[in-house]
Amino acid sequence: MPLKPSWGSRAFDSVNIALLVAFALLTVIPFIYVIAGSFATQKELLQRGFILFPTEFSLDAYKYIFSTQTLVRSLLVTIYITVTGTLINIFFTCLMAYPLARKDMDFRKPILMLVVFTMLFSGGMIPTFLVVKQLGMINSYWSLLIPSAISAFNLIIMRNFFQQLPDGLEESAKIDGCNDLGIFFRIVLPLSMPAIATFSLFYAVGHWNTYFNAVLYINDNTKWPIQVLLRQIVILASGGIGDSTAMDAEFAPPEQSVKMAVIVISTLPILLVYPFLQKHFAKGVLLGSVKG
Amino acid sequence: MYRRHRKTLVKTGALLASVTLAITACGGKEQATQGNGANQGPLQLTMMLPSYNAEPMPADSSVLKQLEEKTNAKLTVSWVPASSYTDKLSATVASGELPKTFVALEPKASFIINAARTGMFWEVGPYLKNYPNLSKMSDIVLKNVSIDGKIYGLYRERDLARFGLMIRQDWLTNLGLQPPKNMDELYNVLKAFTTGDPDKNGKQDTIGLAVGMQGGVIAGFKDILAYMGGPNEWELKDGKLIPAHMTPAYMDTMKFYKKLYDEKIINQDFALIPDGRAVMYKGQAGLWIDNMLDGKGIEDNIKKVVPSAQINLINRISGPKGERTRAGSGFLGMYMIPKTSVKTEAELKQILTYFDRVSEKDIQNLMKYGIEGKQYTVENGSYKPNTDPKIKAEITDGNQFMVLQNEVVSYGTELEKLSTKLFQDNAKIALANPAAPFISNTETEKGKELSKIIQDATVKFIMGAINENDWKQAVDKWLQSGGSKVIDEMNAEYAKVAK
Repeated sequence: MPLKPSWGSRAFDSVNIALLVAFALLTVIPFIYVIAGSFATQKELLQRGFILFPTEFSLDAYKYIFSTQTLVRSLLVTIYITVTGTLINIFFTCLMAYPLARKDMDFRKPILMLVVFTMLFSGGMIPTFLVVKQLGMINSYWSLLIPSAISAFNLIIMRNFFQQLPDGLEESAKIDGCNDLGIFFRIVLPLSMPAIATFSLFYAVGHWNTYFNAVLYINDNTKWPIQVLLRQIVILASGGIGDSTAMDAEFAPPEQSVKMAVIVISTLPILLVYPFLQKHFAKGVLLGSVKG
Repeated sequence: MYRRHRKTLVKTGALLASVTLAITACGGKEQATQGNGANQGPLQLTMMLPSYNAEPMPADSSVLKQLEEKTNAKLTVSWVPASSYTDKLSATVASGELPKTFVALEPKASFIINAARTGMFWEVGPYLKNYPNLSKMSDIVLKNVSIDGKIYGLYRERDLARFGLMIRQDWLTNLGLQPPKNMDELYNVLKAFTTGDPDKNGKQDTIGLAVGMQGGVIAGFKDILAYMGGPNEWELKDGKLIPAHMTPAYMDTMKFYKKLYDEKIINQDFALIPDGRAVMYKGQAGLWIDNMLDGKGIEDNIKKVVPSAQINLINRISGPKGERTRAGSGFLGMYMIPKTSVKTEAELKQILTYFDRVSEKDIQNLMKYGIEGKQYTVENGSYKPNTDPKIKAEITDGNQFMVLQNEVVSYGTELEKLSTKLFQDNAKIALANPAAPFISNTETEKGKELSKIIQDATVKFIMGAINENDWKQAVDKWLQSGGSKVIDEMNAEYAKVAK
């Protein structure tokens, strides 16, 4: 016989739901504000200040943005960096994580120590810049892809994931005549798809948000990724660059709605990727795929 | 066991080999870009400049081409977003991988000073007199940019004193008031703007003065301080330099602001507003004090909400010490020439010749307005810019190339012409910062933390969160945290020059 929920538990539930809804609104409303603002006219933005639905619908901001090639170009740059970068990341991370997970690998511990060391101590901005410069990667997309090819943290989680795979699987594959590479590509990788999908998302978001490295390493403004452009527009729109004595005569900050439209355009694509990977997220990063 | 051992060794070896290959394959490209700057042919000039636009000047811009033709130079410009310019520059300076010339937006940043002291840049001071245009550079500004008395670059000229009042003329007219001429009148006008319903909508929804925190500094505060007889950053009294916040005028200015705050004449949320101009844009405030160049932008923006809005500029407000206004630095960054990339004196002279040519009238106007008939036309004496975004982009950030701006023809609206006129008028009553040429090591190291102590206390005092005693404690804290060292260092530098 089902128990009737007590008054106390119902009260608890409703408080719970109310709180969750409040938190959900707190995270969603700023987003709606930005989207609504990108479609509003400058006049309405100035007068009403905070809008969740524009009374006068206007596409001017988007028209302005797409009137020049800059935004489309940097969007393409970012897509290129994200796709190639993520492929490189996943390839190298798996390639390094798997041997580290194998118990029969020599020097496993020392290598792992070296990896962990980089998590605690990093070279800092200028030494890294010098390395990138010496490798001749300045002004090339490689500077955004190679130095960050493997994230130590992701590598370690990936290694733990591989370690959970039962040894028996590999042994039986070996008995059937598979070599090490075969085991890796034909047995281990297909079983690791949930983890790979999850890390792809982690890496992809990272690449999508590439900002500081691009400012440092890329000199050619036609190679700017979208975040550099976005920050430039947002900062100019809020008039935030230093003392205004320093401003130039023709300086006219872009309008608020333009700023918001750029934010929408630069966030939307990466948000759209998420639903497709969400089911893998539900399985969890640290959960194994082999049951029982 | 042994076989497996070998296998892993072979694998590790293969991995290492491929990684090394991948790394070395990327190298070896940079040599080609470093030409040997010889004297034949056009000058090869690489430069790094800040960009204030989302879309910097394209490399194939017609304006850039014409600049190259006129100066007989081949320019390779790398644009860096102004918002992260200093970060990028500090990394570039530290790596030694510098272009032949670059703009230092903050010539007194510690990494620039340190690099200059180690002899990383050419000292151009002694060469200037040999060039007809560069020799016209202002001594005051040269002094301001100097490091240890030496001039390491060509400053980019800006008007010396650009501050003033931007006031809603339509509100003044509605209330039947005259533009204020002294501090009392200013207060009365602000009060009337708040209580007298200047926009005639029957509601009390206006304020007198718009205030925001411009880069952490209360908007207009330094200007009111100057009107009230206070110094411009440092005061020279009996042969000693005293920081502005330790003068009695500073206290008076804080009290003035507190009064405005208490009577709700300034926006109550000013401490949270990063840019006070936004309050003006809404059409709810009557006065804005800052660079008078803002006037046009403010009028344009208010007109979107209130089409009848009109902005007037005022530059002379008299206080206890008469009419005065604070002088800026007179420059926006300076071009520096590193010795690491410009190796010979001959090449340095070639580059200086380029900058001398850039300072001639035709090029000054080219970089300001673009090519006549392309980027703009002049019909019956009135200037009409081309609005096609592609053609407009070719002149974007053009003024970043300019060094002197003394021969720029003034087009533009009435308001812009007025601001040009008032800048010249301002120069007559400008109050210089006596400490501008001096460097205090403590200041370069801790300046930001230190000024934050004062700024926070000033805001709190205005909002009534602290009283005069607490303020004195804040000043003591400033002194103890390094402020007294700053004062000593500044005075030591001053003593060197004064004798």
